Amino acid sequence: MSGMSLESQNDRARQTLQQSLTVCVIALLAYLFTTSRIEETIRTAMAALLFASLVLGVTNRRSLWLWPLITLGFLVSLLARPLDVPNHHWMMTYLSAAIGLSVLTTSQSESRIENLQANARWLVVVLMAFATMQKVLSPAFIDGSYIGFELARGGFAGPIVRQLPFMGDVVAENASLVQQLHTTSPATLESVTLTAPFASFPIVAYGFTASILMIEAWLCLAMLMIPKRLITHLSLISFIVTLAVLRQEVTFISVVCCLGLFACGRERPYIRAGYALLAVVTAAAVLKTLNVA
Amino acid sequence: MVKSNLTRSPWWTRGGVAIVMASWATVQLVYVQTQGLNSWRGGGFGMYGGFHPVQNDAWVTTDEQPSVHYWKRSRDDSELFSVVRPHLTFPRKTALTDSLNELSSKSGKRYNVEITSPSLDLETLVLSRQPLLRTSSDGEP
Repeated sequence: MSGMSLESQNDRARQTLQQSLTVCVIALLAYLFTTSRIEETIRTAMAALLFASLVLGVTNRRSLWLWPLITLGFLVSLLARPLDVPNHHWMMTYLSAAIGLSVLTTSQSESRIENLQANARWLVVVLMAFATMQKVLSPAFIDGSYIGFELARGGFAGPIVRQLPFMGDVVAENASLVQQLHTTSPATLESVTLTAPFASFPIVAYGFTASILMIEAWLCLAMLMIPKRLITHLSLISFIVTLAVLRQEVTFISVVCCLGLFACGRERPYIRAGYALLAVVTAAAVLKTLNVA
Repeated sequence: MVKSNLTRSPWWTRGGVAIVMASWATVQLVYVQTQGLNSWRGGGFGMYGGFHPVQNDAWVTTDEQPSVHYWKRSRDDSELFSVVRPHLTFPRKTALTDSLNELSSKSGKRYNVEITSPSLDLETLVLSRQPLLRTSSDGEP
């Protein structure tokens, strides 16, 4: 930063803010195109606001007022059935609210970036803390049976696992048995017996269960204690990539990418580029779920 | 280095949303632990902490029909499914019994409903069903 004029610093800050907000607008637009959780009129209005912000420029003073409106759109959809709404929808709501609060309470680009950085950090901390707590308190998770179920039926990295010669057939057969139990009356079929797709299956399931807990707890602690360190962001990026390979949770991934991007602030341009790339790719993957005739 | 005249925003602009998020997630966690809400839903971030509501099944029997299967993605616009569907995510016996009773008074049928979730024994790999809720339109399971 030495030798850099104040004006140049402000320009760089505005440019960083513009890049981050543009990525976030793209991720939100992709979600709005595909979700059925928001009533159609509200969804169209929200999409129009986001498009307008792209046209005006996402850092334009008038564009910034869209964030409370976007948050309001999400809140209306949440209030109808709050306990039946998936977590990524809640995350989108919190992200929009955090952006609105960060950019509208100051007029300086640098302060806006700092606010976004702090908000993103705390959102990731709360997200990972609750993800860990819920798993610890869930009997089906902590005894390894849920992860065992997903591993046995190809619920993780299914398209890849089904191609593997040594376990693909077993996983496909298990998936078929699960479906059979799912669709057959309990009076006719009480249970099915799955086949272990590989040796030491329970041990692998326990190991997988423990790894998930450790990774989420680590992400929570890292964001809490060392939010600016490279290891924290490399861990978050590894988590995002692993989630993308194991389960194509593209909407959730795009939100986490936006949070990671904001959490970098103005530092670590290569890491920010990584988050931005992942966010845009997952936004495109969200759109892939659209059924275009 | 040029010193910037950066002003620090108040704390609530930097962490207020996270406090709201944590407060609501706590409420959801209490619902999951005490009321049987599925952890995948409701903003408590319990995804991958247990079976997804889409893996739950509802089995409805009437005096005439032996068994009708419903799950979260059933394509059915009947009143019966609209009554049963929310309970695949958040099974509440009293609420479901009341709704079934109301439906029964209109149709004259008696409905029995059983909502189940998968359950796997990791050692034997036997996948069975775990009942989440069992009720009927007259309240007798």
